[in-house]
Amino acid sequence: MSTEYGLKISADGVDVKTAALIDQTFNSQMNCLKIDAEGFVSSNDTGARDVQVAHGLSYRPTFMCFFQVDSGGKWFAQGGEDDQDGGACSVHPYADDTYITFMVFSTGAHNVQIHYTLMVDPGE
Amino acid sequence: MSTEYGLKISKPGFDVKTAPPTGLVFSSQFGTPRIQQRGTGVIKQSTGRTATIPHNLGYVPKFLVHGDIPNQLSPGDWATLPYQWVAPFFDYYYNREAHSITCWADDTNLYIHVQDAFGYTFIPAIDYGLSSSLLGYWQNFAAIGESIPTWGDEDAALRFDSVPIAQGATIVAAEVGYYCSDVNGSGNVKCHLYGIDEDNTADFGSDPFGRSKTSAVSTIEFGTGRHNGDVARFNIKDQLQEVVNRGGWASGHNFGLFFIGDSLGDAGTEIVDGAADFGMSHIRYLLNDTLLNYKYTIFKDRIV
Repeated sequence: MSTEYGLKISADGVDVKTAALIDQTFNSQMNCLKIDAEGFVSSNDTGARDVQVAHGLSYRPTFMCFFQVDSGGKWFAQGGEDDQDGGACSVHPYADDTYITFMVFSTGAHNVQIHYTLMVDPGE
Repeated sequence: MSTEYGLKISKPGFDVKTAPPTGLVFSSQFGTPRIQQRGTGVIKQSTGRTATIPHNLGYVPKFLVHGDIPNQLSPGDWATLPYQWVAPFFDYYYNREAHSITCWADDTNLYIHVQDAFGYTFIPAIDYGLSSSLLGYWQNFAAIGESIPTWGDEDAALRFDSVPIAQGATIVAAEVGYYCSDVNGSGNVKCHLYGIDEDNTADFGSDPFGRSKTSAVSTIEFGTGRHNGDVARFNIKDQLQEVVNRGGWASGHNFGLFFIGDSLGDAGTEIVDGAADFGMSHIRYLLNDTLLNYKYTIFKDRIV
């Protein structure tokens, strides 16, 4: 069976017929992450707590998350910590077949706002 | 309105007309992350611990950052950032939030920050020495300033064993962290800070205060209003470099410091640390200027 089928789009200035994969902006042989839903959740508390989002899929999906603390305008990557302003907050997310769970920890009471991007694509 | 519009491409083995979303490599019904810009960079101790990368989007974008971290990962291995490091216990106690690499974005820039203590090698003090008019060097604790009311001016010595620095190695940065386990008084304490100028500083089982001092010396101040539990940090780069440059120095040898009052002023204040009290003073040093090699991807997709 020929592999010469499908759709390729090359980057500007590159011949699509000979372009290496890294020089292609799209190749139908490679899966694209597909965004199923995005949203915000928040927690205004102290110490350790879980915040959950039901994703409605029957498998563990790929996801991304970022968070900010007390509307500070700095959006941190998941797993990071905001200790730049004297506080200490972190968000560690994980997924199961039903929920994305965000494990939130903060020293002192802080409003932690979380942005999540849920993908159609399974994370396994 | 029909939903039968747009573009779908199925994975091999799936009928594109009936494939579920997980059977598609692309569907115009779903958004997909789009890349705005990518790049690489280096964060060094000598040039500051924060990289600031403009994205010119006017909103806060999603991003990914990966790092090659000397002395933490094998060469050529890249970790997804942020990255957290478990600090040694004596530092974790008071400095536990300062051992990570963090990254964040606002509506102007992406930032990658290597926190204060990340990258340093820590060595706890193993011996504490005290010189005063009434108490001797064997007291197993250190005190600087003026012991009140009767013991007079005090000098301190600290020893750090098994320092893994090769002879002649370049010290990029080095500090002593003097743990103020017991502060009596609130005034400023000034003193001279020397290295003990020896190839391999022996323990303080005998009076250490007659030993040779480095020519490298600095005048330090603990400052007013010190509290129990404070850590006073002082630069010892030149003192450590002088000792490491000695011909008889070798990796694994022991290093020492003197805090000598020299009548510089103690404002009726005594600052104590030592095994008899708590004992968490330490040195920390950097041998590599490079703290992080990073690669980043900023997406067009917005967070807010």
